[in-house]
Amino acid sequence: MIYLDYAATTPVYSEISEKIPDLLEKYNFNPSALYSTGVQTREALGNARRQIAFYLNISPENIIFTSSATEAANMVFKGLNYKTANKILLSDLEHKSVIESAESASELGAETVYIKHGKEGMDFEYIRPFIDDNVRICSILLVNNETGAVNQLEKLASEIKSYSKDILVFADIVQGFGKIPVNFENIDFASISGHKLGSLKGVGCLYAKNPEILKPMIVGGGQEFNLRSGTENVVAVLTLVQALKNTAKLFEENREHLKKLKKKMVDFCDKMRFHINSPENSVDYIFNFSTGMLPSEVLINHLSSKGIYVSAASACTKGGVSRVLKNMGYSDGIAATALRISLHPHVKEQDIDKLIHEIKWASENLVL
Amino acid sequence: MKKCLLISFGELLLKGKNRSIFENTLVKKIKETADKTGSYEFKKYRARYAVIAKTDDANLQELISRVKNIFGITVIFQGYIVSRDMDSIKKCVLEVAEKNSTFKIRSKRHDKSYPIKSFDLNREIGEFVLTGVPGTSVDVHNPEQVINIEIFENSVIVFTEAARGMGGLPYGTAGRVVSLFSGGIDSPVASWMMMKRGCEIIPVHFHTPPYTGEGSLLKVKDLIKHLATFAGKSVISYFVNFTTVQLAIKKCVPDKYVTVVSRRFMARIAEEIARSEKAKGIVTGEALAQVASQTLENMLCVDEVFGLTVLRPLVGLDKEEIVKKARQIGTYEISIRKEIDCCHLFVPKRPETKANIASVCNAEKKVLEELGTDWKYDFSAERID
Repeated sequence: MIYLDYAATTPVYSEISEKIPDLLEKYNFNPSALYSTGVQTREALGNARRQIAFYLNISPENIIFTSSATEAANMVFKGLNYKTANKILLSDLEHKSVIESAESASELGAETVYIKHGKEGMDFEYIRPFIDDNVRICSILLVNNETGAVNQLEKLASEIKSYSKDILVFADIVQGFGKIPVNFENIDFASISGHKLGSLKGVGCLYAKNPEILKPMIVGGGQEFNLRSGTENVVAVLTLVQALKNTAKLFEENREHLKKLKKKMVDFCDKMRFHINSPENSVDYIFNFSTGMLPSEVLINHLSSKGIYVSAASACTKGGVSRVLKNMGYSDGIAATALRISLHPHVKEQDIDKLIHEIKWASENLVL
Repeated sequence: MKKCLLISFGELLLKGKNRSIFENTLVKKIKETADKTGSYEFKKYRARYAVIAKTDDANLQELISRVKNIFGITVIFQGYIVSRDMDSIKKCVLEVAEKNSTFKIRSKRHDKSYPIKSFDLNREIGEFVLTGVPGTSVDVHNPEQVINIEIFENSVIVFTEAARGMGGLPYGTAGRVVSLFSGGIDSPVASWMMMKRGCEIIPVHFHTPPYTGEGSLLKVKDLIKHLATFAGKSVISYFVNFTTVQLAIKKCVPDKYVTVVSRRFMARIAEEIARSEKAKGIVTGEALAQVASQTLENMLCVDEVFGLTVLRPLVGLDKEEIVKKARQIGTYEISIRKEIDCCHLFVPKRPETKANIASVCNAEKKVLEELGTDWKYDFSAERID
């Protein structure tokens, strides 16, 4: 099996999955309990929170564990009060978890405003015209999940804050967390997913600089600083911490390797005259291109039959093509024939060679 | 006092000498179903079949929901078997009578030696319900509830209607058929309708990897799994890899004939499978003129290839009627599940609506030349339950 869909999910690291039975035995208790095993479980949860906070250079009280990054985004957009200012600024290149939760805040009186962007992403020049006293929050995507394009998060956040400290900044950092550095100085909220890093599914977290301004969506026992009730999934949280450590180490040590793999893809696309959809400023581990002739699904199915797993954001049903690529200004032809390769330091050069070989074969034999 | 279901069989009553074959099949199915949910004994009461709970905690509701799916059953009644004394009968009536509703008592003496005549029993029990069950009133013409009391030699059964069955004939009693199964809305309904008429179905699905993906296959399998719950047994299903044939058709045949020629090839393959499975007919989900390829002329073009009976149970239905049926039998939600595939790449922009056999045969010759005389297809067969 050659797995090249790490942006969809990163399989749980074997050293993590091997430890799960032990973790389940040791921390199989309610962290709110008063007896010793409960206290130990609570301690493990606290340590996990501290380790993530340490990595992000923030305080542990600013980390709220959730079931997913989607939940984290929902907590922000549906948990804010929009009485004094009600505009949500965002771009239509954002992930659906952000767009849909921001849109659903209309029930609370919020109004979404989509700001112009280039192929590379957002620029403060595009944001500035929309900034006024009515802006409650501005959302900035760190790494685009389809193209790998990187927004200058710190720069944009500081520019927004220099205009008005009252405007909140939300960042979906799912595809960058653990892989590229993030400075939270001017960020108020950030959504984080565990399974993209190789933890168990069903765990994520929200970074909140001032958690008290959010109204909780889930109420009950008051866990997670009263923001997210429900008994904590401690074992999943522990796998998140370990996955973060593995990710940070592996990506740091293999930057050149990833660069090399991407270059191989770029050279191949140039040779085949395929269209490269990932802009220059993209990360090395997400690469998007279009064959221009073979519907994405045909190529995905063919590669799957050869044990190579990749994805595309497009749907091959008539008219249904990648929203992100369309919003970047690409044609249906480009959007409907796109492929996303997402990498990990474990991917070998020969994996990419095999991928290239099969794509070449498919483009010569499967085009109708 | 024992809880029981009384089950009425439908058309079986019309059967002559073969009746026992149909009845035995149906009884066997009911027994198998009941044994899966609890501990029951079985007894025939005249034209009805009783499933009697051995324990008081038997979950009859679950049994009803399962038995409802067995073809050949028209009505399912629920009630109690008791001794013949009036106190026991009244106790049962209290159990089955609904509060705040109109009712009618319908008693019948199968044992004419029973001292109270039906008319008197109706009156006595009717008065008892009126005084004992709040909010009840009698309506002999259009009652909300009919309380049946049937007197047998050693016992009395008090029962009310619990559910309507689907009718039809017991699964498998009418023989085997192959069903062309696409995974859309129509073909599962067509298969179900033939199942209802007693046919054992063998779905044949054509897929064209890599132009169709594994998600589409999963959807088809889920549909067959759903139909298997009506069959009450596993369903042998064929999955034919049609890519080589489809590509040859796309290459050799004028665009407008692609659909008709494709269906002719599917028909040939389906027939081969039918013969190997000893099936006597082929079911399709076509409805006359629903789409351009389902015209009388085009059907004739495809029928010409078949050597077996072609069954088109949906031929006279509107799409709306088919959708309604699909919802009713529970296949609709699976059928509309969006599975991404690119089979539309093989659909002609302007399909021929009045294909002529001679031109189609001509076009087809080139496909056969391309494929070679000994052309074969890959397939896999699976038992799905």
